[in-house]
Parts: sequence; structure tokens; C-alpha cells
Amino acid sequence: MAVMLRTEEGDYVLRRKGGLAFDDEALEALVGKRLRCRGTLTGYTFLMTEYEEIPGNP
Amino acid sequence: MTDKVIVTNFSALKAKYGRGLTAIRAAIRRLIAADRKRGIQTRLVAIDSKSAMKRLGAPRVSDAADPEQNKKAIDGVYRKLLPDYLTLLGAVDVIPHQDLINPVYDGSDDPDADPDPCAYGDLPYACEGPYSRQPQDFLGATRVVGRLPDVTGASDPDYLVGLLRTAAGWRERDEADYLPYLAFSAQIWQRSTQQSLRKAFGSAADLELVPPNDSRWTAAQLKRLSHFINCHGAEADFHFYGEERRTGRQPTSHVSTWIDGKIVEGTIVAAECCYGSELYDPAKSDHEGICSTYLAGGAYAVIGATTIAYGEASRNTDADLMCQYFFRRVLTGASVGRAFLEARQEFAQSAPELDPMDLKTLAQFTLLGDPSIQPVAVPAPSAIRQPKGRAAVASAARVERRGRREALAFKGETIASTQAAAVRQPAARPSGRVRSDLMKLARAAKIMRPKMLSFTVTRPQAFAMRRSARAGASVRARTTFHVVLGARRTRVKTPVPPVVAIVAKVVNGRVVSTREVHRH
Repeated sequence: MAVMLRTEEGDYVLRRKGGLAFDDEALEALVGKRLRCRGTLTGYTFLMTEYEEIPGNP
Repeated sequence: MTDKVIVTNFSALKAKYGRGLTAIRAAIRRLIAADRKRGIQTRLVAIDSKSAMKRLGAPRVSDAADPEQNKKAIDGVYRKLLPDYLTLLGAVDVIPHQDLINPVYDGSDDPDADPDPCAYGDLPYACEGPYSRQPQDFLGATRVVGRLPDVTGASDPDYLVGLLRTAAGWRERDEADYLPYLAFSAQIWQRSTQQSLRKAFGSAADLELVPPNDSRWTAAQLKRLSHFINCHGAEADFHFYGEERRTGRQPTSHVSTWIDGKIVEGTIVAAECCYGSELYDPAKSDHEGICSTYLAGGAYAVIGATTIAYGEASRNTDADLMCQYFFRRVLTGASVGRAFLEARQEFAQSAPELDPMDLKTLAQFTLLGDPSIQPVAVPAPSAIRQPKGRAAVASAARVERRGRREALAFKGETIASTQAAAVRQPAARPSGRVRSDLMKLARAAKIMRPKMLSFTVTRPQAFAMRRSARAGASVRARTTFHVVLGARRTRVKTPVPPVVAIVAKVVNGRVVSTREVHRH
């Protein structure tokens, strides 16, 4: 139910670096989309520094 | 004679700061000199130094990241010098938190449960027991311990030099100076926070709720010396968040940048939020955490949780109690280190058996700040003849302090040898009736896809045998705890849904009490 990044290695809570963990509309807009992203994994949270949408349905 | 010991790892500091270590060493010398003027004899111990540790008969730390080595080294130093204050100098990449197992971690990374494998904290450094990863082995704290952290991953020594300057230059104030507070709470926890404020400060009149208040705090509010925060927080995040009771919406309630340069030297902070005292590397998140920013601004102490924290909405438990107990003692004139030790002890005795949430709370709540700072002055009793001269005053204060430490050590040892606590039993399952009752409660709490964890209760064996022999079968009741947790359904969709847990105490197969705790 959190905005999650599902990867082959595991699932992580997704957040934009420096962004809000709660109430981030830009993050919510990514729900259901395929992403290519770069960032840092800390604990169970993936902090994205860059991301782009990959066309096509998951 | 050593009143205070500062332990640090110079190899780790050197690796971070290189030549900048010279400035840190100079700041430490100034702190020790300032302490001496206050009548406190302070000794610096490098726990990575072969020669220094050999002289103390303690094992040295060869791997700064190893919690067991650090625990053994610090125990050795403490037992040799028996200081009244123990300061851990450095963040977690200098002296690591101890890696206690989170009792409510179910082995998965499910964010709708409790995904913290560890309840990191400094509690074991404050306890006599040997290294262990089981939180139930550290119920009875006996030592006054605080951590003066640098910034994790930092290379500029200015931050730590600044904190050492604050620790050297602190001053007492009247209790009245600390009674006005800035307190804000997620709206959903209004009643609990009101109770905390009444108990700590005598009034809840100035409590702010988020929402509706989701704007920056005013300069006048930020300048108040006591800050009490009951909000949400997240991993490696420099924001805190409120929560609307009706919809579950979670607007921002606090940001590091709101307080940067705006608080007053001497501020004391108690944060109930998840990750409120997490010392993360700011490179991960664009800004230092709120706790680190408070300390940079001259705060004397910040207490908070290193991982996910819990509390109830309508009464005081868990994080509420730790914060409330701490503030009450600071206001009566305790040093921040003693206030935190006494808070830990009171919390550890707050229930006949500590349940899994209690254990996590105790394990992870951490004091950031020099433990010897005494923010509130204690007026001297006028009818008694007082010692004259700095040396005589220091000597009298030392005698009084040693007496208090002995009493607290005895109390801590008593707690350790008598207090019962929950222990995870992965294979245990509640009976069908109990399980059915718990699932009904989970539905009532709107928990989606609930997970269940089960625990038995262990009591220190010698105490249990004595008690059992005296009282017969009546005390041999079989007590278990069961925790059902999961995300709560909300009216609006939120990126991180509120997580709720039902904690049930079951005695001889019957549910005797339940409580609903919220993830902060």
C-alpha cells in the first residue's frame, strides 16, 4: 500500500531524495508505472535521485 | 577520581576528518577544561588505542563498526573508572549503536508491518550485562550515558566542534524558563499528547495539532526551550508529519530547514516520531536529520527513536512515556543523562511484563547530548550551611552525585533481576478462540492483511523461583503476548499508510487485555 519499488532483488519503499515520505503527490503519480531509477538504498527505503518512466504496462 | 568519561574512536574520526581531527581534539580539551571549572573531572579514552585500553585492562576496538567489540571495550572502561557520566563521542560510524533485535520484526520487508530488523540504540552501553542482541537482556539500565554525535559520513569537523562548544559552555536556567513549550502532535494523537503535556508541564494549553496547523512554527514558538513532538517520521528523512483523524492525510509538521539557525541554545527536545533520533548520512537525503539540526543549533539534548516508534492515540504508553518521564526529570533539575536513565528505569517498570512494543521502545530510545548538562538549576536549601569555595562545592556535589548513582545502579540491577518481558516464539500460535478474538479486533481497527506475531513471557529465573515458592501455583500462570499488525484503511490514499498494531495479553488461554498502538 505504500508506494513501493518492486525489483528482482526485493521490494522497497520508494521516495524521492529530499522529498516527502508522506503526502508526495509527484510520487503518487508514479504508482502503477514502470521506472528506471537511480538512487540509494537505506534500510527498506529506496531514495531516488533520478528516474524516468519506461513506456508500456508492467 | 574520574567523574565523567568521554569514549571515542580516534581511528574512525581520523578516517573521516584527516587533519580536521586537530580541531576536534582541541575542542575536546576545551570541554575537559570547562568541566574542570565546574568541578567535573573528565577523562578522554580512545577505545581503539592499544596502550590506553591496556592501561585500563579493557579490550580495544579494532573494528569500529563491530557492536560487540564496542560493548566489551566500553564495559571495560566503565568498570575500571566507574564514572558518573559516560559520553559516547561520535555518530554511528565512530561508535555504533548496539544491534538489538527488533522483537516485532517478522523477517519480511513489508512496510505495512515493522520492517526494522534491529532496534538500534545505546541501551546496552548503559547496562551491566554482557553483549547480547536480545533486548530482554537489557531491561535494567544502571549507567548515565549520552551520545554527542558528529554527522555520519561527514568530513568537515565544524559540526562536532560546535557540539563540543555547546557542551563546554552550557548554563543553567530557572525551571520557569523551560515551562513554556513548543508542542505539536498529529491530530489523531491529540488526547495522548495532551496527557503527556499535562504530566510533564502542568498544562496542555499550547498544544498545536497538525492538521489543521501545517505552517511553519513562528520564531517565538521556536525560541521556547522545551520542544515536545508527537508526529510521524520516516527513515533518512528531515521532515516530520501530522495525521488527520478523519481522513488519514499526513501533512508536514516539521522540517530541519525550519529550525536551522532559529532555535535557542539550551533547547531540550523529546520526539516520539519514528526515526526521530536516527543519525543518518545526510548525503542520502539532502539535509541532516531534525535531531542533528537541533544539536547544531545549540540544543542540550534530544531524545528519540532510531527506528519505528509506537504509541497509543488516547492514553500514554511507549514513546509517550519515555518523552514525558524524561522531561519531568529535566524540569526537576536532573542532568539530561540522569533524567534519561531515570526515564529508562521508570519505563522498564511501567508494566508487570514488558510487551514487545515496550521492549522495542526501551531498546531504541536514545539520548543525544552531553549527559552531564544540567539545564535546570536546583535552588540550594537555604537552611543548611553550604560549603564555601569551588573545591568544597565540587566535593560536596560529587558526594551527592555518587550517592544518587549508587541508588540508581541498585535500582537498575533490581529491575534486571526481577522484570519480566516478552520473548518472540516464532513457532507459537494462539488458540483458535484467541485468534478469532484478535482478528475481530483487527477488523475493528481497520487493519488490512493483518500479520500475527506471538511471544511468551520470561522472568529472571532466580526471582521467578523465589516468588513461585512463596505464592504457589497462583503465580505460575502462563502469560503470552500476541501482536497483530498491518496498515489501517484510510479515507484518502497516502504514500505510507498508517500502521496499527493490536497488542493482546493472554493469560491461561484467555485475552485479559488489549491495546491498540500506532506507528509514529
